[in-house]
Amino acid sequence: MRLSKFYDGLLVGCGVASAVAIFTIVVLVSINVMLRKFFHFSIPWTIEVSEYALYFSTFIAAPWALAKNAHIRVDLLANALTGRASLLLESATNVVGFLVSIVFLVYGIVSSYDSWSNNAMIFKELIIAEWLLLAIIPISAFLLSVEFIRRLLRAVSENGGKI
Amino acid sequence: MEWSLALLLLLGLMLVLMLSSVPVAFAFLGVNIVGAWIFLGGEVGLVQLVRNSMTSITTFTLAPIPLFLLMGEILFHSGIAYKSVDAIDRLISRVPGRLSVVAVAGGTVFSSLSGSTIANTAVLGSTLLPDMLKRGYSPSIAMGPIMATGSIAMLIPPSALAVLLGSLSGISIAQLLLAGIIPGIMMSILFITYIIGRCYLQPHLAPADEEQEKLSWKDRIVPIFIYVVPLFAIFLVVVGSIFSGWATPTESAALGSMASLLAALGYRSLTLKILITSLMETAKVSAMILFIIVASMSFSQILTFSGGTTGLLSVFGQFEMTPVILVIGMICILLVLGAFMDQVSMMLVSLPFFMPLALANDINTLWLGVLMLIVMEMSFTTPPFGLLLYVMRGVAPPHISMRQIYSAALPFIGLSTIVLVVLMVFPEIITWLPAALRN
Repeated sequence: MRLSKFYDGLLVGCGVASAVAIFTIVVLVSINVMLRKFFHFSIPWTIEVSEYALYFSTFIAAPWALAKNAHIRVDLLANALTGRASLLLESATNVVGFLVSIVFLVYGIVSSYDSWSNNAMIFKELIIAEWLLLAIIPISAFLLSVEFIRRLLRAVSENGGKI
Repeated sequence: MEWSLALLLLLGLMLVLMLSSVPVAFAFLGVNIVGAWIFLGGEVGLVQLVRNSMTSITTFTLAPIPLFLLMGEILFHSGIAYKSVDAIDRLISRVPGRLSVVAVAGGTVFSSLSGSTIANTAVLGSTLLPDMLKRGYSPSIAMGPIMATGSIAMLIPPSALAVLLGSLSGISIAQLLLAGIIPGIMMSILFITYIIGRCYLQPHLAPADEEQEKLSWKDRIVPIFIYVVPLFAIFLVVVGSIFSGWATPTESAALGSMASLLAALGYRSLTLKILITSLMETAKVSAMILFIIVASMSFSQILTFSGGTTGLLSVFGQFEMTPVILVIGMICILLVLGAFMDQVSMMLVSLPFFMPLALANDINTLWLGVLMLIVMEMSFTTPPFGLLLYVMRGVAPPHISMRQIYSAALPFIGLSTIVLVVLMVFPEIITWLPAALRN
């Protein structure tokens, strides 16, 4: 129970991190335009940081959005089914989501590790170790896989433990 | 693998996953995993898939999506949107179907301030609908305009979906945003004409309210100058900065968000809590949209790699269709897709085929883009998966049935079809404004 509460808190933290990233884009890009327009000066790494912020905000918020049921789905069939069939479908979708997340977790780790061991760097205005960016994917995939398992368990327990 | 088999596998698996109510983004990701394993060489393909996921979203041109959404959220949560609808409500009087006309006018104004269709429908649905029903408006004339104008938001800048369409299709985002203005206004005028005409012929649909007619001129005009006119500064910031060429669409979106924040501050309606709520809501919706984009970009790459795209295009090429027939075909496909898919997924499934086809046949892509936006706007209210139908269900009183909501949307789908046909016959309506401003 406590673990579950901690996890919920963690997901909200992810949402906050994503919101902060978006706000950073707003502030940074606005300042840059003003500086360019009125002072003929611009911050060279604005675009780059905004791009990373966009990527970060998307992946870090995805598990939280899943917990909030915000990922859109075509629920024609889900609405038409009732009882056991509905539960089976719900379980199957969560299993598919879990498997997808696991593949991204595993190959996310592989890509990040490869990048780290090759010492791969991204050279733009800023110089960043590529694995730092790639590592966000397995983190997000890990949280997503946990969330899909939680959804699966919730669906089953609501049905008295039977599928 | 034969291209037709590859296409069948990829599209078939995607449809099966989507229809089994796997969240759209994960349906795409699932197909990508299978596709990458088969067509991109097993494990190497999967590593490539992960890397693609990062690069597909690390792009500045997609940044307006959260920023345009944020503008709407700020105006929505700070209550400014409600005040401006109220001001328009006071201004318009002695018109048949008055409140429905207010809904279209308010919706058009709000859509020029917000990139979010859902916020648009929610604001109008929760402010005007209870009042309309209380005054004895028939549900059809009360809900139809609210849903219909919710979708004008997609055409009039700022529009998050126009940005998405631009960045996925390669059509200039700035031009696409500008090209939507005239069709959006056209649609709004047509809706108002229809409401007035219908309520004039069938006055029982919308009883006149005498209380409103007692308002003094001062009470009518002053709120417009307080709550509507200053907000146009936000629209001017967004569109003006793109027009004048001193900001890219992303920069204009950031300035627009800043302007919305300043407006909320100016009205003393901004608290830290409102800012946080607006940002969190934005984060949630934009993560949902952008996550689908992550998945679908790889999908179209895999589709191309498998030979499916070129294979299908070559089949189309054999028919030697005229551009107009081709565009009509594309619109029909979108209407079918729209019946059971959301707008983002529709774009992602269709664009990998539509864009090469349009370019090969010399179809004006800006024109095609705006037509696509209108068709997608129509599918927002097309049963059974029209998103706005469900938003309306969420804000409407419980005694309103889904069937009533469907039938309220129907006449407005008809009106949108008229606009669509007019724009197909006269493409200049779309291309004129961006061209004139470029010169």
